[in-house]
Amino acid sequence: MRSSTILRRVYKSRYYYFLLIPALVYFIIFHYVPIAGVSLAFQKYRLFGGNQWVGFQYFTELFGSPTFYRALSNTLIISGMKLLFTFPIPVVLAILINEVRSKRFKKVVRSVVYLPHFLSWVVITGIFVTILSPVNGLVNELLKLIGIQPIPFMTSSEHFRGVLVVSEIWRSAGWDSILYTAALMNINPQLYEAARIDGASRWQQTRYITVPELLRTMITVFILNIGFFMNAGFDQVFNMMNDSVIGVADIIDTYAYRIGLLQMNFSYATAVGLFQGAIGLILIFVTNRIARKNDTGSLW
Amino acid sequence: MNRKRVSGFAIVNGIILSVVLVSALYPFLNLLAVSFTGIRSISDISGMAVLPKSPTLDYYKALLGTPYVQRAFFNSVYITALGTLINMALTILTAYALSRDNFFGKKVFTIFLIIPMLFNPGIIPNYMLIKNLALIDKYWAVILPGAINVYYTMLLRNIFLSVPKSIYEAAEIDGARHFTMIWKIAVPLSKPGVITIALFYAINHWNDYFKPLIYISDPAKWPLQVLLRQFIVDADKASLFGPLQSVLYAQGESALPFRGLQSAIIIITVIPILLLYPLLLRYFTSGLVSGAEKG
Repeated sequence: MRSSTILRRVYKSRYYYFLLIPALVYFIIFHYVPIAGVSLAFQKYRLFGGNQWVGFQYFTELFGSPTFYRALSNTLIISGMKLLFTFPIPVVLAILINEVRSKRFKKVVRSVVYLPHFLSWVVITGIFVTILSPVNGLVNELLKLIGIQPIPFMTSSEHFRGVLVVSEIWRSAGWDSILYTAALMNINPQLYEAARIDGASRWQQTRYITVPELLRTMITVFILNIGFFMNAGFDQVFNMMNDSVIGVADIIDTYAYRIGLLQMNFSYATAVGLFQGAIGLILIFVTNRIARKNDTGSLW
Repeated sequence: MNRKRVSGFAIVNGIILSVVLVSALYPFLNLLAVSFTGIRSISDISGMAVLPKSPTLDYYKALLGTPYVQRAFFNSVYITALGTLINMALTILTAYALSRDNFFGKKVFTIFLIIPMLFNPGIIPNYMLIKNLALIDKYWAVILPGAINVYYTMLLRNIFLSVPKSIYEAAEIDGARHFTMIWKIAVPLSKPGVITIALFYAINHWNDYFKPLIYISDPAKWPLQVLLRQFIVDADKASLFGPLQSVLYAQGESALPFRGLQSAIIIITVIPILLLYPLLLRYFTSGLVSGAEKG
């Protein structure tokens, strides 16, 4: 393309650039400056005067720290548990809701299960602290009925990760089922019609029409989830965690928060964040490549 | 095939979904009951209760009557309103430009928007930015960092794509400028989608506790979520903490029970969301389904 042609095309599009200026400025300041800001991981932070380059000193420190490894393994374990236990539930929920004949009941169920998604983790923590309380909490009252001693779920290292999984399900299962509901809506009703004529039972219709159609969406969602594996859920863990469960709950993000914003060790915490961000970036690229090969629709 | 017959599956399904419904709603009913339960009964009201014991409005009176809480509520409303307004202005402008096909450099700009979604620099570089911009303790520190969400922008762009090109072309012949096309064509024709996205933004602002927690140290500027967090997460330390004392001792000598105040402040924080929720449900399906299909 000749440069004059490019100039002419740029000139013709000039009004679009005006529309994009606010977003452009925003992205440079609030996204690209912080991305450049990760260079702090290679510098010693000084409140007064310039920072001093120290190379990989903070990474050496990081990889020698047992607390970091604890945070890393907690992140992987919690992410893994969430993927394993929460992933199938929205699929099942979408199928069950889809099978409901009464339009009214369907609408009620959907409106109710989508709601928790719109509550903050502070609120959800409040709700779970209440229902899991060893004194008068709903769950322990129920356990009492079947003769089980009250369990201090929120402060027990044994149960805390389970609490994370269950509260994640409580908040997201409904909302996450939307994707599958959309996939179900896209299934051609004639397929079911034909299957019925061939004498397929309801279960057979689900097994041979619904499930294979949903599988595509499931694979895409699964791959995307792997891409975000390093994020075990900061807001959730940050609010629900307490000193008694820190050993099983402290994830990379909460660790970086504590080191950085509470102990003011900025450079070290930036190194922690950079490590997490870099792994996350690699995961996204790898999983996206797999998604593309699989032809299941990719991010780009 | 006899459609009237209720199958065994339908019954089991009905039971399962009813259990789902109850487990989603029960915690709210119980919190509501506890929040209205009188001081003397509060320590023995069961987690299974859905009706308050010796009903009272004490906790709501104490909370809503404290200037500190009132200010937090106002701060939340202010941040939500101003934040959403800025969000929508930026999102609409960007989504509109990206939805038109006759503009040079669209691909480059789209990549420019997507890169930050792929790499998260972490908490500290963001904190340093706010610090260097001297925004600590200012509402802008809470409002500006999320001024535009790429995901919602792409969603709105897809919704705008369903505006027929011929309408734009006709307007262009009439000499319309982009601003006219946005306000008179793109936005009105995509009303459900625009409202849904505005509600998403608003709810995100209302629920934000983290940015105000780390950027705002002046308790007078805290939104409701940070205050709520004091009651929930820092409950043991909160009783020692200055501003909360005014709530705890709103009734005089003896402190109000934490359990009652906790439930009441959760309810107060959630009510605005419950008010917006029906609106969201109404516009959500019609607004986003059309956009998602094109995505």
